[in-house]
Amino acid sequence: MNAPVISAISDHLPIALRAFTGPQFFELKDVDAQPSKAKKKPPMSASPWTLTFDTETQADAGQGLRFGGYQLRNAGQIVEAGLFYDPDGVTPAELDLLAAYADHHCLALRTREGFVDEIFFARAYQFRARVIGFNLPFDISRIAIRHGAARSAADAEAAPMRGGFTFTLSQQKIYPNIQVKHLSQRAAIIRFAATMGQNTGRSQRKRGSKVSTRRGHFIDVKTMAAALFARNFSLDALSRFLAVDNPKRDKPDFSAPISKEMIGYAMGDVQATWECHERLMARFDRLGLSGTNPEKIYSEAGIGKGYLREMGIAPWRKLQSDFPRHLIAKIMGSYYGGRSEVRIRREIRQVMLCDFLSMYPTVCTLMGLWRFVIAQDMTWADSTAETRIFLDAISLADLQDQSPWSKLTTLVRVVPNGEIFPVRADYADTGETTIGANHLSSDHPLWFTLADCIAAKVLTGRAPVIVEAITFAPGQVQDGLCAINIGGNPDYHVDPATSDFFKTLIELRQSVKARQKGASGAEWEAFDTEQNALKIAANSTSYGIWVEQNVETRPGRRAVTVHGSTGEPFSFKTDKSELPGSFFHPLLATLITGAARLMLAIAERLITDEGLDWCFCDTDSMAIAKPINMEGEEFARRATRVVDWFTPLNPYAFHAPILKIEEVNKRLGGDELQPLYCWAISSKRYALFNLNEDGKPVLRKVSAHGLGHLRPPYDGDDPPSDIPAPDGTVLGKGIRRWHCDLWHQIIMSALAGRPDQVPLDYHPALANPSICRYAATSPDLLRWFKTYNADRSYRDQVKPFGFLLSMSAWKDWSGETIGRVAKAGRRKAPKPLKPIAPFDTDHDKAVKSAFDRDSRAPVLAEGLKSYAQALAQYHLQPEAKFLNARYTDRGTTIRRHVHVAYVRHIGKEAHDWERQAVLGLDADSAISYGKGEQAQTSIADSIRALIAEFGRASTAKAFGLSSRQLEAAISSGSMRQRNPIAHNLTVRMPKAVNELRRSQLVKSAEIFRLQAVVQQFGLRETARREGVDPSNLRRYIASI
Amino acid sequence: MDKIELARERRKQRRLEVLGTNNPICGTCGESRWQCFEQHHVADYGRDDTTVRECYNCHRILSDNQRDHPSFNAAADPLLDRIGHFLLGLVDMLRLIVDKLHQFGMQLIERASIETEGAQT
Repeated sequence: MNAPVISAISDHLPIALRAFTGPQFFELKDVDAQPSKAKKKPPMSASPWTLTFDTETQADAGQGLRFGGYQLRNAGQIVEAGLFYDPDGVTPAELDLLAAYADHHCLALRTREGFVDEIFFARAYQFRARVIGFNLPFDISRIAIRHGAARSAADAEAAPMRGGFTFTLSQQKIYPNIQVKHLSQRAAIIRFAATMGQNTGRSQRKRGSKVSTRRGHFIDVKTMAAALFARNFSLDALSRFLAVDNPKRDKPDFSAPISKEMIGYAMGDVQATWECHERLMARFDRLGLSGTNPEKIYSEAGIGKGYLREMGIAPWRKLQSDFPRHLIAKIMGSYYGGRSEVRIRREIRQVMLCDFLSMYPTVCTLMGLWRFVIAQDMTWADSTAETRIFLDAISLADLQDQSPWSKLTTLVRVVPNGEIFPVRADYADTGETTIGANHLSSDHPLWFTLADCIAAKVLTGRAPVIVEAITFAPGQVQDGLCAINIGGNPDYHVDPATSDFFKTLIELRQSVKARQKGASGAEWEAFDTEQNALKIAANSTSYGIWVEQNVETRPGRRAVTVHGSTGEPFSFKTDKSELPGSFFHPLLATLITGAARLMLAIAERLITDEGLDWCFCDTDSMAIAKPINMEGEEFARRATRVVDWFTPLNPYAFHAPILKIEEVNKRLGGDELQPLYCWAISSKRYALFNLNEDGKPVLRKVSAHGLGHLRPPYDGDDPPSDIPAPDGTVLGKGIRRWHCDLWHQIIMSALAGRPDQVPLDYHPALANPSICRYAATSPDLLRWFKTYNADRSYRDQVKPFGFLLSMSAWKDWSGETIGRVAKAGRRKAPKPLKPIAPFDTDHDKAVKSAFDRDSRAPVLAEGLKSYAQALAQYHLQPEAKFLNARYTDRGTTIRRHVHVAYVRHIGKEAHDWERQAVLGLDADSAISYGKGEQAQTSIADSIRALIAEFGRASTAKAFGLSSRQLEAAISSGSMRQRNPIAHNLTVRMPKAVNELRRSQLVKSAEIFRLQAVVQQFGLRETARREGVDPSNLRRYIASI
Repeated sequence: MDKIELARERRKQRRLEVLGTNNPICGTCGESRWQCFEQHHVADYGRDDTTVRECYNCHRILSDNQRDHPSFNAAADPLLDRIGHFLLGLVDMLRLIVDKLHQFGMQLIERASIETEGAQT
């Protein structure tokens, strides 16, 4: 392969690097000087008692409680089952019906207050029962009588409930409140708050012992199912998936008065929840994680940590707590997530979609990272000379051998000079950073993994210049490691001290899958369950937990010490705190993602060498594209050669390619390959399809990226008449019928040769206002409804975890008036409307009650964006991290060449993504630690260099300042202060540099033109024609 | 569930919470009724915080034995003193277990001989 030509610098951008933070140096306490803390007993498991309950609510904005059902059990046996109701939520006739139903079915009937005081607290709380529900936060909020923001000490370093809600359930002050903190769509932390008064007796306090607050035992079946099966479930789907005896029944009409069917449905829900809980607990017990409390499992990562604890593996941070922070900073500075790119954009191309077999466990095994996991500590040594030799010598062919991969536990400091590296920057100037593999140039050295340097060499043909290299090695194996049986199965025995856990897991899974192929019915299900448990164990231990950072927003800003990879630590005041997870080991995370990017780089190089193209890649998959003039068979042959190249890298005991041709490449219901076509808009927004005999698309796989937050404009049973139904394999896992219909239209437009114009009138519902639904999961979200709630009873108010609706504003018609005389002065820019509405199942009603969440003014339906308007640019989504990827651009994207303007230090990137996906980007949510003093000085130096090159006036103009303001801003000391001009200089720097360079180019072109004219007509004639003084013209031409 | 059952269950769960287990068993005699348990300081109260769950009877015996242990010596090395008392407390417990095992063994032998005699007659 010829080395690609490195293009000229296209952008001067600040790049963002991950930093590591800790408390201020002066705040570090002398451990010996600390008074001994009162000893706490370890938390106890729940008693055999359980309380399962479910609520049924009004279908209006307040979603107030109508009635509910419960089962109180002891050791699985029902002690009491009953109904409870809100006296304000039922009519006398409905109450009579509830009483008759309860009497007929031997159920207790209680008021909400009676249920809370006599069952929830007098029994469940005081018996230390496990409280079970499906989506418990919602049910708890329905039986509450008050709520507020959960309190925590303002100066607490870790306050897990900060940002959560506190619910008061009972008027009895002896009973505690309940705190609920939303973590994700799948999980929430739920616990009892402390009760009033002193729990610990005087004599116990004297002895230094402390009675722990009874935090309760809450199990949200939804959370547990998501953690065990790594997917979302509704109660209906879960009860059918687990094949319980009494699955959830069909939902009756909840807007109608209470009926027998409705009551039966509610009690059925309670029973289905209990049965699902039993199945899930049995499954959890089979995992053999005796040291893990199921109530504390919030995700698959919890299962992974459970396995590590079970093997007796102590966290690295605990064993090597004195590991130098400057080294952690270098590791974090080299950390980037998976690579995700689009190469051929908005062009129909035949592709072969390939993905790597368990990418992260595979690279963990190849690099031997398990040795780091079980090590007592790790050592590091300068390896600059050896790494230079290694990098210079290594070739693509060498990488086909497994031995070089074990030498990749090295970080290198390089001065990038146009090589391809992962570059994290705000390409679109929206405040959001994204990572793109782009050409990078920097005046200062930066840290990367050795794998990234090899990838740069593989892609550009030249090795980056290494300034420094540090190689890490694992220390002695930890004491006290013990063997475990994965999933409780003795056949899946793993000894952590002698075998590679990641490797063993994948091998076991492969053997189970092989046996599954020959099985059917219940046996097939059993194998599927086993292979799923192995998959979760592998995925949950091979990446995420090593880079886990828990972000909390404090009530005020506090100084933290920011350890960046490019300079000295500095102090920065922030309201965000990042608390590393228990198994935080950033070296593993950065090495894993670095090696995964190297795999993709190799694939890209091989594809290019074979004369093929690629459409997109995403972390562990790549869509190889057929060149337009190549025969299909030849394409398949060459793509297979690319796939086969990776087979020698298989580290497992079974023989199989580690780059696999996905099932989607095969004919529906068959095993033979069928031409698969791709239409990619961005790396995560694409559709794969076949073409039928009529040349019409048959969808095989579509992405719901950018659509998931919208409520379906129409149901699956009311589809557009002229769009064929997609195959069942396309639907599910978040893909709905309307997503497929939209993609069908996009592809049809492309096939018709008008890809920019996608008609969005194929269903009348697309003309309705677009609506997003989200839950009020935090106090600040609920605050939007403060005015709405002000004059309503608690029952009718929008409450925590209730659903809210948000819309997009199209135009603010309310401010438009005719004949008004404009006021003097500059007209104020209108603030964008942020329409929201209380939840209503009837979208027409919801639209009528929409109001602006800032001004509380009503928003007219005509001012709301319709689905057609909201989706108008969906098919044009630009990919800002590359060139030739603007809205209407098509074809091959081009890598940018980024010159580092300065380095910005940031924290966890994906923080709060779930909320932002629905509500849009929130700049306050991003964790930014600024630039550090060195960078600030460097900015001042850069501006001085610009002044020297372009002149003070031009430079000041480019920054939007006067010359005097600019001079004052860059004077010694000013840049370090928090003054707005200094901040603006930093923000405007990239644009200003681009503008100055562009204007210089324009000026040069103009001078060359004038030179040509002067040569032809002479100086005086040219000056006369241009209307300028000849002397000035001469000076202007000479200025070049 | 009437008021009495409710109150009893509440007492039970509160007691189990204090004991730190849902299934208490006396380490020396095997008693398992939740009402009969106390926490016993192995090295004596005030010397070390390590406790074990013991039934009232065994606790009474062990605490009485502790009265015969050497009395407090302000001049002694606190760490060695603590370890020494802990070991003495452990010996007391093991003695009780040994007695119990001996008693149990004798009972088994006695039972075996009765069963043999019964079979012969």
